[in-house]
Parts: sequence; C-alpha cells; structure tokens
Amino acid sequence: MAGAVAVRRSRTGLRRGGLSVNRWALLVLPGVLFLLAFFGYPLLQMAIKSFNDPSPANYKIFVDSPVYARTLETTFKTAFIVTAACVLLGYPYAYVMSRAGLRAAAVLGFLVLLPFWLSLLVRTYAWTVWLQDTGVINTVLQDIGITNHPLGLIRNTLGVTIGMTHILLPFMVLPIYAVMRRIDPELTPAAASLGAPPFAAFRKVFLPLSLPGVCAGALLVFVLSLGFYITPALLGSPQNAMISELIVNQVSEQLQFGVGAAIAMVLLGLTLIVLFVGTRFVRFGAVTGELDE
Amino acid sequence: MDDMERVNEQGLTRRELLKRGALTGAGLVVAPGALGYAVPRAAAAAEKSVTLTFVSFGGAYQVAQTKAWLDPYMKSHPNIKIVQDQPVDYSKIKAQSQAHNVTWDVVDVGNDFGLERNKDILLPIDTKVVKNAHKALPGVINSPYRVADIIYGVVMAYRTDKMPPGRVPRGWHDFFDTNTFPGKRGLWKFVSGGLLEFALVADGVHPHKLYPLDVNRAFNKLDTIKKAIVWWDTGAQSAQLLADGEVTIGHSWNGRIFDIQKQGAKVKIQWNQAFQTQDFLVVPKGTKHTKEAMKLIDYMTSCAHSAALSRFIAYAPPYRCAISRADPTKKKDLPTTYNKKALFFNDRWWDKNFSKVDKKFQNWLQS
Repeated sequence: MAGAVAVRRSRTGLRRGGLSVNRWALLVLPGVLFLLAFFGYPLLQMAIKSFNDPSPANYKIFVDSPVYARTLETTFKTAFIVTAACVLLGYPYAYVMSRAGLRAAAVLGFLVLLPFWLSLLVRTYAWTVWLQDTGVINTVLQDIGITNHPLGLIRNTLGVTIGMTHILLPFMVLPIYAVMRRIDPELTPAAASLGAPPFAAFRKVFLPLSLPGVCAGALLVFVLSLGFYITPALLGSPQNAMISELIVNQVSEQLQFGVGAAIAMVLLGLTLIVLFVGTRFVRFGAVTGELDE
Repeated sequence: MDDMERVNEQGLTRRELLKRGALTGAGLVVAPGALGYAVPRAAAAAEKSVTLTFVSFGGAYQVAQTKAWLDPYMKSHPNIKIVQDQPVDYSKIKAQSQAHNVTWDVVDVGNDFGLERNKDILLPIDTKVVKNAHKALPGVINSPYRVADIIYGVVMAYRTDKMPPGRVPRGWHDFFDTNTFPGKRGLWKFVSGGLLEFALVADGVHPHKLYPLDVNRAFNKLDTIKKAIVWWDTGAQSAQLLADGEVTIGHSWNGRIFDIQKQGAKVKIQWNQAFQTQDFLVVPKGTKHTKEAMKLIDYMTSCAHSAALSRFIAYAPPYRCAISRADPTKKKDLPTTYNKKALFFNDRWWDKNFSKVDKKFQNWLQS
C-alpha cells in the first residue's frame, strides 16, 4: 500500500517533468555544448590516443604485468568498502536530518556540506595529523595508557577508508535525505497502529521507501571512489594504491601518454558497466523528483 | 598547508608531488609589469622586449632562484621580462612540445630528465652561448639538452633524540639495520630517487661500482625493511615525517632538512655516503624565444652568478669557478663541502633502464 503511494507519486513527478521537456529543452543546449567541447572531445582524443600512441599494444600492459589488474581489483574493493562505510554513517544521519525540525535539518545539512569548502588535499593532510603514529589519536591513547604501541590507523585500508568516507559522505547523505523527506511521516505510526512493533514498522515500511536514495547515493559514492588518487596515496600504503596512481605513473613519470590513456579507458569502461548495472536498480527520478514538488 | 592547497588548485599531478620545492613558500608569479623599470624609449625600441617563462619546483627553491637570478637578470636586461610557472611537470613539456604550443621557455628539471630519452621534446643547448656547458664539476652529467644549475644532496637524516645512546647511523648499512637503530624509515616512492642505490651500498656493493645496478639484489635488500618503510611523495613530506618523529631515519634532500633544522627539529644529516645530484635547465623544443632562453641559462650557470643561489638556499653551484663564491656562512650545509664522502648516481644508466626497472618497482611495491 505504502509502496504504491510512493510509486504513484514519483510517476506523476516524472510525467510532469516529461510534459515540460519540449518547451524547455533548449535550455539544456549550453550545458551539452560545454560538455561536448571540454569533456567529450578531449575524451575522444584520449580514446584515440590509447590506440594510436603508438599502437593498440598499449592495452597489452594489462597482460604483461599483474600490477594493473591487481590495482584495478584494489580500486573496486576500496570503492566498495568506502561505499559501505558511507551507507552505514550516512543513513542514520540522513534519517535524523529528515525527521528533525527545519532549523536542525539546516544545521545538519550545513555540517555535512562543510567539508566541500576545504580543499581535498588539506582535509587529507589533516587526517594524517590525526591518524599517524605520532598523531593526535595515538598520542592521547598512549598518554592515558590504553595502548603502549601506536595503533595502525594510517598507511593501511583503515586510513584510506576513513579519509575517503569523510570526503564522500555528503554524496551519500544528500540523496538519502532527499528521498526520506518525501516519505510520509504518518506511514510509520500508521504501521504501528496496525500492530507493527517499531523495528518491523521501520523495516517493512520506511526502509523500502528510502532504498532508492541509498541506491542513488551508493552509486554516486562508488563511481566517485574509483577515480581517487591523492587520499589513498597519502593515507594508504602502496598496497592501497588506486589505478589512478598508475595512470599518473605512466603519464608523468614514464611519459607514455598512450599507455596512460589505455588504462584510463579500461577504468572508464568498467565504470560505465557499473553505472549501467547500477542504474537498473536506481530510479533517479525518485531522487530528482524531489525538485518537482 | 596553504601551499598544499595551492598545489591542489592547480590540479595535482605526480610531478607536483614529487619535488622538494613544490609545497612550501610564498606565491611566486611575477606579475607582468610589476617591475617598473624605466627604460628610455629609444633604447627599448632598439632591443625588442621579450617575455620569458621560467618554470621550477616552487617553494623556497623557486623564491631563491628568483632572488638570486631572475630579479637581477631583469634589472640588467630591461628588455626581458620573466614570468614564472610552477611546478615542473615533465608531461607538460611533452604535451606542449607535441602540440606545437610551447609556453615554457626555461625549465628547471631533476637529474632524471633531459638525456637521450627526452631528446625529441628538448632543444640542444647552444654551447656557444652557454659557456659553462662543458665545465661542470666531476659527477655532473650534462647532456646536449641540459645544463646543471644546482648541486644538492640526496641524504640520510636522523632524529638525534631517537638514536641509541652514543650511536648515530654512519651510512646506508645502518639505515637498513632496524635492530640497532629501531624505528621506521622514510623513503621516496620513486624508483630512480635513490632507494636501489642505498640498498646496494648497504648490502656491501662497492659504492663506486654500483652500475649497472643489480636490481634484484636491491629489492631483496629492501625486502628486509619493507615493513618499516614509510613512503613519501614530496620533499615536504620527507622532512615532515622526520620533524614529527614518524620515522627515525629518513631519506630526504639537504635543502629540506636545512629548512626543518632552522625551525628547531632535532634532525641531523649524515653526509657520509650521501649522494650528490643536480637540477638542470632545459629548453622545450618549440619555444619562440630560443636565443633569449639560452642567454638566461648562460647567466644562471655562469662563474659570476651560479653561486648567488647559495645565499638564499643550501644548494651549491655545479661549476668549479663558482664554488669559491658560494655563501661561506652555509659551508657546513652545502653538499660540495663533503665531496670526498659523496656518491653519485649514473643518470645515463637510468635513462636507458628507467622504464624497465620502474615496472619491477611497481610490482614489488604491491607484493
């Protein structure tokens, strides 16, 4: 019943959007042209470079050395872990935000957006100050006698996960919040009035309704994670290196632009596959439909 | 932290991360017209005014280059205006040269650039103009495409307060001895940055017979301390790791250590077995200002001016005729003071083998 309400709603949302498309379609042109000129064209050039600078043998690097496939695997594994961490932290946060009063929601929203105003490198560097062996956390833990050896918080997967989660959390919280806010607050009490215990009401009513937001956020975070470079380089060890580090190695150190392009194309291809599969589970309308209201 | 942010704004590349200067110091770009020189119209008309772009690694290093060389040069050559860019990125030199759109005229590069491997994207140095091109000190590997502008030390530095009583590391052997000298080790995550050479010296290879490098032996030696290694990508990081005490002994560059010593860090350089290396000046192929670029390079590498840099930073001139003019107050901090203990990289060997050995390194790093 509740699901039906939500579906009907989002459908009307879509239909309303669909009707107005013709009239306003021209407005999209500048953006499309911009993307074609400054993203599409260079991307095409890079695709060509990957085959003819000097030859398609650029792609053989994945066969010649195990490093590249292994690093791709690490990249996807890291993206998965970070996405999971973002869901775990972001879901309750978005829930509180969506149920809080307007002012409290504004403050929570401000807090989650705050990191956007700081450069990524500065934030990552700040994390090293906290996490390193002689950092704030380890110093305090040793001073109060909880441990006498510094804990390994940095230069491992934990460090990378902490740093990347901090940076990507907004991309999880905001889509979930957008969906949660549109869930009728009366639904859970209604379920309770029909005898559902609080957790069952949450699990059977609220959770399914909020899932489109989780899927959208997860997709965003996952795809963004795949391109990370500086955070894993500073907070991880070489074992945590992401594929972008090897692209930089090819371009800036080996000066093999073609090989760098080939690795980038493979990453792009895999990302597109993730997006393709992902969008089958995500109704972006459920998130963007928010704007229609 | 300011400077880290600036680097980020410029779009971060590996090269930016790599070099010692990139992360400190004040903004550098000399605004066009900022130097209000008054030149009589007639004189200015006689010599066409030219704007050169000089590129270096930023930070205290590029500030020093500006004060020692660029500012005085502009004063004595009123028709030349020098604007600056940073940090150096070899891929940008290649991209500019390939696209026939070269905006960098004189570029300061590391010892890993400017040999045969890069000859397609660089102009040969005009040795008629650059008079010291063939007069560099022994150990300096100039090429038809590059001329050395500074000597610096690739050194081991240690925390004086974290050494066992009465002992200090005396060479690379001790760097690898984590039993006698406990604690972590800082190393540059760059295969030709020195780590293979350190490992081989530590393993007993004669320091003057390192090349051709026994790469497998080097990696085997590095395996013995792999868990203790803290990798760094920038010179700033190399010094910070020592200043914070994250590592007790670290690989760094002498200018970087000089910086943190001034700030009071309990860190010392072991000059014994320190490697001496250089930065070089190159001119990208396709520049529209070849003549002026060569003249500027001649000035920076001349007997009269090469040593001026040492007044502002602890780097030495690479020319015998300039050594005596180096800042006497920095004597104990200049790498050339320790010539007798110094070791040297073979840039030519690396030029031929970098690609192959780097592949091995990337694999080793992750295994």
